[in-house]
Amino acid sequence: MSYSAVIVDDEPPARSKLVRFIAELGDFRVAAEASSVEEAIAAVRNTTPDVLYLDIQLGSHSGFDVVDGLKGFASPLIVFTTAYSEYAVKAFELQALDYLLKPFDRDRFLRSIERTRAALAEPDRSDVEERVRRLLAQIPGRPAAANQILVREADRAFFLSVDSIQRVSAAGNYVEVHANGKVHLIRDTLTSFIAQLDANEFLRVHRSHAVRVNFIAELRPMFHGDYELVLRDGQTLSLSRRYKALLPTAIRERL
Amino acid sequence: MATTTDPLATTLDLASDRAPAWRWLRPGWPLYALLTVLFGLYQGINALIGLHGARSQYAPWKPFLWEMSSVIVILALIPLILRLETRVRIDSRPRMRALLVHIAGAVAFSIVHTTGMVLIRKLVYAWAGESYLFGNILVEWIYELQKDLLTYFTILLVTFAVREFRIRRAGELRAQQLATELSEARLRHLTAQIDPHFLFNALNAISNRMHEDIDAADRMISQLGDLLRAAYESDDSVLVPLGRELGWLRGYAAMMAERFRGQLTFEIEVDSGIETLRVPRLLLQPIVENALRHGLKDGHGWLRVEVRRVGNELHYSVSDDGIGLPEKPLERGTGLSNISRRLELLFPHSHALTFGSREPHGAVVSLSFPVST
Repeated sequence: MSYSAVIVDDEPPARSKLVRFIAELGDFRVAAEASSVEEAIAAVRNTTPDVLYLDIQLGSHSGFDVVDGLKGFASPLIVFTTAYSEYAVKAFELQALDYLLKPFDRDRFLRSIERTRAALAEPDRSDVEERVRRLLAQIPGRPAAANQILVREADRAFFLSVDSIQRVSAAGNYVEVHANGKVHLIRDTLTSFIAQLDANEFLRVHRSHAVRVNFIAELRPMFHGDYELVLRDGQTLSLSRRYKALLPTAIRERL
Repeated sequence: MATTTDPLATTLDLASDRAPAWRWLRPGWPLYALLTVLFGLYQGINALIGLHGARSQYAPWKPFLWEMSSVIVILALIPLILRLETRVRIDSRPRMRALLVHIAGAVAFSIVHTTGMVLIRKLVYAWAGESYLFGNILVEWIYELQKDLLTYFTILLVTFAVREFRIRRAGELRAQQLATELSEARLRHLTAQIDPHFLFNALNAISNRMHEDIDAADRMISQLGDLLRAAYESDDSVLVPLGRELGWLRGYAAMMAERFRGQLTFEIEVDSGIETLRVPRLLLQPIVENALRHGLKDGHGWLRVEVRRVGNELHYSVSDDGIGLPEKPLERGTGLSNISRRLELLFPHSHALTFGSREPHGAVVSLSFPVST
């Protein structure tokens, strides 16, 4: 089994270095290289890689523009690479996302590869997607979250105010949007759907569930370090350790 | 004698500016007139006291009239003297011409002064029912002439002194401004060179190059060393040899060409034999850095720097095929506005700085300034 990687950097030497390091591994191969935001988005769409090595500074653009451009299409594991970016590095650390600071040597690269292998071995990586979503919310200059959402039902289409949404759940090829006691079905994946919601307002708490922060009523400890989340409408959701760690400190302390 | 700095400064302004006629009416004039009267009164009191025993022979208003009439004519003539002096400065060459013009000026001044003064006295005496006698015209006129020569040249001397003082003060001010602008340019340069992005990406490029070509990696390290050394350099000189500016540029170009190998073309063309010419420091760098930072899209493109000598001028031109210049390239706070201010201070009225665009896209920044050989 071999994992595929896409390398995005506007500087050729930086790409060649990663190409060389990856070539020395037995279980990874480079599917594509890209030097700009557009090339990167196209490369990821065409090759659906397992890992994306993403430079933060792409000329006058940013690697975060690539992440934005991939919303709803693909969610490879991202390893950010950067020469220097104070706020980004702080944000990576906060969200426990992997990053490589340039210049890096083989040892640091191999340590990162160990973490990548471990992450790729997890069947459910929705918590990593959630980390990336939270990261984007912290980076200044990102597009603002939507305040209404288009809902198409059998006989009509209308805009639903985001303020009325209490929680969102995955249901096969659809998401169930719970708003003011009603449930709307929208054809979308949960990852793609919540990408348009404010990451500080809506938390993904499970592979299949996202809830509004102030719709959480109680956090109840269960066995093996897992928790149960009780919502204001009485519904309970199980909260795994990995997702518990993702709850903002303010909420963990409140509950 | 008849000089006080303030009205003189005012009239100096009037005379030395390419002043439109209405400037003669500016608010300095009532003050000038008041000073004329006060000075006349002061001279009158002195004359009155100076009469001593003869005091009883004259009505007390007479000494005042004598002095006042003289002072009024002199102060009325001062602006004309200053005008003449701006045409033919006393320190102008040929010296003989200046001397002759001003001797003629002094004689004319004396004739007008004496005539005007006597006329006023005669008029006032007639008005008071008396008659004013000037005495032996030739003797009196020669007596006035020697006094007027002294007055005339005193006026010229003070004019000259004030002008020199102003020139010196303006020069000092300019030097100070220049130092400020230069230190701003140096700071920018420093931050651009030690910009962490530049530094860490350069190190990363070197760490990759080592595996491909150890000599090339070696060269990159020494180039990076040169750039850092140039950035740390603490030299306040305003002008440096062109060769030093180009040394920096070539190192920077080599480093960027390595970082964006195969994507960036960086051409430098310099006329031969001009590297010893002295040029303002850090003039080319901000333009090149700006072109690379904002001009090139995702590190793809070309950049061309030309340095040419045209007669007694040096021409710089930096062109790229990037996204073009912002609408206001000279907005304060940018490296380009700093260049413009420094050129203005160094070469007022004899430099050029232009911004153009290239078809289908890209920018050209050109500048020129005089060089001495």
